Amino acid sequence: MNKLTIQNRIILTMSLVVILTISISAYALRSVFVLNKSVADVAENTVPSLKVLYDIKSDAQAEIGSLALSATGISPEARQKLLTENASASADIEVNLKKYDALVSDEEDRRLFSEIERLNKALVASVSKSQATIASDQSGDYLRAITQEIVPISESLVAATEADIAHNIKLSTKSSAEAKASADSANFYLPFGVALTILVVIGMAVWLIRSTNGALGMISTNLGEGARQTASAAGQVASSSHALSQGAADQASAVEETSASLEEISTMIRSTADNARKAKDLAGEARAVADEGTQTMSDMNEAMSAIDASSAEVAKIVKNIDEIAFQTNILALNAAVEAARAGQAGAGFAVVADEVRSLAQRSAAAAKETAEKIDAAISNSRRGSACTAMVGESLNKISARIAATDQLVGDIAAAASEQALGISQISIAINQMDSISQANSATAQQSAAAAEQLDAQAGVMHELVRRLDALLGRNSDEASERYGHSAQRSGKVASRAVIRAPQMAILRKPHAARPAAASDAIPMPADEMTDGFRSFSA
Amino acid sequence: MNHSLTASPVVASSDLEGRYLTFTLGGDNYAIPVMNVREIIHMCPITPVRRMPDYVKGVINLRGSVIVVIDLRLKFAMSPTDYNERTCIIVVHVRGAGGERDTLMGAIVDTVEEVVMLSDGDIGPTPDFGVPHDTQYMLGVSTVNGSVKTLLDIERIFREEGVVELIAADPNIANLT
Amino acid sequence: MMSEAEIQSGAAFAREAPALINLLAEGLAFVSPGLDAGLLDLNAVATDLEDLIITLAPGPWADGVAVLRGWINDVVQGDAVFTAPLINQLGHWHTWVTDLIEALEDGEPLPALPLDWEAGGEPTYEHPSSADSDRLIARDHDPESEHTPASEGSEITLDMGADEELLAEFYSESLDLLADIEQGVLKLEENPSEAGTIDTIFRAFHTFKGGASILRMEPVAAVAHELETLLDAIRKKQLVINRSIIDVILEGADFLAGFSTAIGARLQDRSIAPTFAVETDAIIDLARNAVAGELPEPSAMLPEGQATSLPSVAMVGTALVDLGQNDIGSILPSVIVAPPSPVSSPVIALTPEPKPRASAVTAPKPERTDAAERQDFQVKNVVGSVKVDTEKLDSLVNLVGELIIAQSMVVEDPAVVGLSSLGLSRSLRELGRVTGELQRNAMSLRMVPIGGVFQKMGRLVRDLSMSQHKSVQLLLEGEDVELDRNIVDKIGDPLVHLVRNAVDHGIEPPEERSALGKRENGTVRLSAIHRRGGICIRIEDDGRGLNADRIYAKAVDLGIIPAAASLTETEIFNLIFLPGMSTAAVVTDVSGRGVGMDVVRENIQTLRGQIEIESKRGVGTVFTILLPLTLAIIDGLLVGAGEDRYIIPTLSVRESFKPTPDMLSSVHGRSEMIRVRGQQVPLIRLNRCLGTESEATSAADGIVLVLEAGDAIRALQVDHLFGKQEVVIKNIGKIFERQVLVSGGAILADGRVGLLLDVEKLIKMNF
Repeated sequence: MNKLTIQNRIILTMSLVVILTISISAYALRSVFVLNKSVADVAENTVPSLKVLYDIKSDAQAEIGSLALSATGISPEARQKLLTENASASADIEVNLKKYDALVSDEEDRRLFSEIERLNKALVASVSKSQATIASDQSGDYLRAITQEIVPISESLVAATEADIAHNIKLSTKSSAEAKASADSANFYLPFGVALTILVVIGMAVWLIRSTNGALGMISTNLGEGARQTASAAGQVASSSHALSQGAADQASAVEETSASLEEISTMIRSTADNARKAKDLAGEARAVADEGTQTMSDMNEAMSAIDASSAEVAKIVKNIDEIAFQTNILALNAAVEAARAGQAGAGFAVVADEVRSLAQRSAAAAKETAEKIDAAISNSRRGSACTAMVGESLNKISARIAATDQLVGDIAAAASEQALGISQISIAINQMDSISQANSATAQQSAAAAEQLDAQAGVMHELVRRLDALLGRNSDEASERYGHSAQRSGKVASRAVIRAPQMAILRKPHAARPAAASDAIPMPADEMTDGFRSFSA
Repeated sequence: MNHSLTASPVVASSDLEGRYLTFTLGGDNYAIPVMNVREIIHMCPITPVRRMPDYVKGVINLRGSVIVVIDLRLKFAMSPTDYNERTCIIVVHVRGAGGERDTLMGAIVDTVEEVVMLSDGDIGPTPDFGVPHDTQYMLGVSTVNGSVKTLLDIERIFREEGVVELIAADPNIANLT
Repeated sequence: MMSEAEIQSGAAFAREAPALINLLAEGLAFVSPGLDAGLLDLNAVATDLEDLIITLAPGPWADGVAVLRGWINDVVQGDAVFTAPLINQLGHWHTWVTDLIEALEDGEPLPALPLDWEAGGEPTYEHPSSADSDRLIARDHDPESEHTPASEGSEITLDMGADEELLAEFYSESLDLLADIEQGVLKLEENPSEAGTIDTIFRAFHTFKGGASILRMEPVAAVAHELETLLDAIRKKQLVINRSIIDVILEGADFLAGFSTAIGARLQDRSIAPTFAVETDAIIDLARNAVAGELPEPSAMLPEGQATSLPSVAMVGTALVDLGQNDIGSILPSVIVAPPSPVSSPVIALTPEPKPRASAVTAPKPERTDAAERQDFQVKNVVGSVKVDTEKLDSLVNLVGELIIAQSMVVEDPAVVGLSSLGLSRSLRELGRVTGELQRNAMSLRMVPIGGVFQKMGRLVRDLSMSQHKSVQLLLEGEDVELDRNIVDKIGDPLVHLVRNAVDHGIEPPEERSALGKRENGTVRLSAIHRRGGICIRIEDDGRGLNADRIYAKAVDLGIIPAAASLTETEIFNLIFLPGMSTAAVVTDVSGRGVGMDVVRENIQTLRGQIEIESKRGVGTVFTILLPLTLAIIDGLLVGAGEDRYIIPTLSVRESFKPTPDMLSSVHGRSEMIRVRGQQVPLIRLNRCLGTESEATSAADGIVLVLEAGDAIRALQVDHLFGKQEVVIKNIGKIFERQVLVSGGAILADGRVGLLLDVEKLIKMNF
């Protein structure tokens, strides 16, 4: 029993009372109903049925009479009149039959009624079949038709109607008996039922009051304690939120500073990249100039080589001249030899040979001198060539250095742009950090608000407890004192959190500033709850 | 037609006067009688003949005839030197000894100088070197124009087999004579 | 009717005369009335014909030739110009002689000599006193008596205007002739029995006389004639040379030289009077005394000879009666052997010093050489109507060789090769063709058929077989194969020895042959064919063959080989070429006359030839002589050893190939052998022989040539084989005589000198 909630207990008690009340009422009602029904049955069914059935019986008898009259040989005009009368009787029957159809009460009744209907139809059919004969018959044939065919049917119809009347009378009798029995039992059982119900309700009420009072007392005690503790926790939360809020603010400021620094760095890097590009351009120009210098040098070198080559060529020619001179010398010697061998005859020729030889020697000497000059020219040209080569080499070196510098500058530019990229990534990261710290700040604020709310709730709860205690008739001063202390603290927390809020709003530029309402955090309003308690306690 | 007419014996010891062709070998001047000289030619490709003494450099084609070429430096046991464009071959007419046919032989010399006329007065006797050197290859020594020339009996030198030890006349000797 | 000799002489005439007749026809083409052009040519033809008749082909045609001679003499002694009728007659003569030769060839009756010729020729006999007919008369005193009056006048007038060309020709020729005479006489002093020299001198006088007659210098011609007579007597062995005779000849030569000099002086300097006196009597007397006075005996023989010749040629005129002794001998076979036999003994007696072997060579020689020389003389005249000094010929050949080298240098010069001119290349081809043709022609100038030498053997075999009572048939083949004249001259002696040996020692006496079942008459076959760029002469007999055992025994006796030496048959046969192994002593028991085969081989080797022997006991012996076609030109393989290039005579090379390592083997790790066609042949590395660096380290690198020298076969490894080349051999001088490997030099196509390897010495040096 103890497991049952208060609601269930009340429902159980009330249910028992209701069930008992309903049972008594139902019994009484049934008795009334049965009584009523029997009376109604008689009044509404049996009586009309009997009246209809009697009408039918009378019509049918009327018909038989008319027919029997006709059979007595009356004129055709009479017969015609009779027939018309017959037809209206049949129509009356038809109307009554239809009336009765709604009044059929049971199976037996239905069977009997159907017999009536069948017989009526057979009668109608036989009349219509014989009508022409009757109407036109000049003889007696119509008589035979009436007597032999129509009259029996009419007689059966009357019989059937009588049977049904009997049945209906039997039914009305039965209903009267039932009503009498019902009224008798109700008169006996109803007083007992009411007494039992009163006893049960009293018992259940006692059990319910006792059990509920104990449980609620314990709850009130515990609840008071919980409210106290909640108030204390709310204080703590408020303190943490304050710290968090403080930290977030600091962080935001730091992030702001970082962001500013980054901006500066980014600017510097851009400038570096710019400078590097300029340096690269300059290096390229220098290089072009150096290349030009090298080209000029090589042109000069070529010119020197050409000089060298032509000098060598000249030297070769001189050598040729020398060679020719030498050969001429040999030739002259050979001539001298021949001249000598020719003895006196060759004397004149020997002189010529001598002359030739001296000429050869002179040309050899000239060739030698030329060769020396040429040698000097060649050596000068070679020296020039060597200098040119050296200058060319230097230029080449410069060119190489410039190329290296160019390369380095390019590297620097590349590094700067990479740095810029890095910085922008860092910026993004800082922004993310900013938003996170703002979120943190908001969260802290919300925490503070929640703590305040919590404190308020704890106060409400304390009030409720006090009321509950009042309901239960217990003293609750101690609880009230505790609540006052915590409420004081909670208010302080809330005020500080609110002071910080504008500062934070500055930091969260990228995001739309959202006022942090304390009510947002706790959707359930406190007075509703109080109402609940109030209604409960009422 | 008759060769004996042209190849007259100029190298008669009694009469050394005549024209001489002078040439140099290792800085020394030498002269041979022009009558022994057939012609002077440039250095030309020499076909070496193996298994011969060093001084026989080989044979050359002298306008269709094959003649032997001898390096006079090596023949005189002097140090060999590379041939250059001044190197000449003196084609020498060597009269056949003992009924043999006359032959032409080439002598490689450093360079040829000139043809000079030497009179008896210009030619001194072969100096006595004070050592038992065979001086039979020298006809004498001449000191014309201040330079000393050793007159060689080239035919004898060519007829001689083997290396010939020769002491060239040096300038000091000029003073002696 | 016709004796064998007649038939032979007819054949000889038919063979030899046409060339002369052609020359006559050529000469006739140039003669024209009123001019003397061609007179010398015709005279030479007539002289050659006469020579031919005297030496080889006596016969009825002699009188025809005499008619021709008469006409020419008429011209010579007349105006020295041709007349139209004479030219006509000469044309007829040509027709007649052509008919005659055809008849001889076909064996038909000879055409008769037209009668009018005799009539027309009659006047010529009124001047047989002319020098040219005199020369035919050996010992006719009549012409001399006619000369004598002429010489009394002994004054010669030169017709400088009309005869200048003739005089100049005569002068230059006379100088050569006199030089010949001088040299010949000097040789004769050393070796009086040298028939060739006597002949040379004889011919020189003869030619001199002919020239003098044409120029109507009768006194001079008379002197020349007397001297010629003297020489004729000598060469017919009617006189024996001694100092006084030589003196006479020299004196005569000096006289003629003086005369020539006089002409020369007048040719040079017209101012000298064309007429000059000559004193001929003394010389003529001297010569006559020499002929008649000192040796009366041979002179006594003369009438005999004259008498014999007269009846045999009944219809011939007086000029023809006086044919030489030899000619009569040729006409009458019965006399053939007779003259040499009695003559030869005094010669031997007069020259007692020479070794028996030498005398054996020389004794029978004069007779044959005489004939041969005459023939050579005639051949020479046939080949070129201009007598050319062989030295000049040599120099021509050399020059042509140089021309070819120069031509190839031009053609192969890079600068020329670089010029892609169609015209130039066509011209160069043309130049190449012409120079090639020129070289062939120049070469052919030296070439003479070997037939002359072969024919000498006919007489030899006949003589020998008769004297030894053997029946030997000599078959000649390849007589028209041509050889360098120098070789032909020098191959005669070795051939004589070999043929003599074949007949003497090879062919058995008839009885022995029939006993052996052989045909009674033996056969000696002499053949010449071209082989390996040279020619190959075979002397084959079907006699008893060489007796290897005897040779071996003899060699052992002489200590040439050790007693136990094992030699192949070929090696044994080759022993007979060693000095001291006299064939006579070894091959047969017939003693005495054999000449050392060493001399034979030496002679052949001087000609760069080789000799090989094949022999089979009882079947016969074959000597094979391989000779180059010419001495001046050699067909050689150009090989490279290191940087040097050498020429190896193609005749010595059997084959060349690139060796494979499996062909090589070494004996005792040192001497290398190479297997060639299943035979192990010692391998010589040329580089090692020469002491030069070789490019080929292994013997399998390079090229191997298989060399043959005599019986020795060696493989020679060289670095390169550049190809085959005909080169003109040059003497490289005495200084290289001791250099054993090189026997000569040649100018190669690039103008440098290539050295000719001496294969014999190369092979000997190593083994």
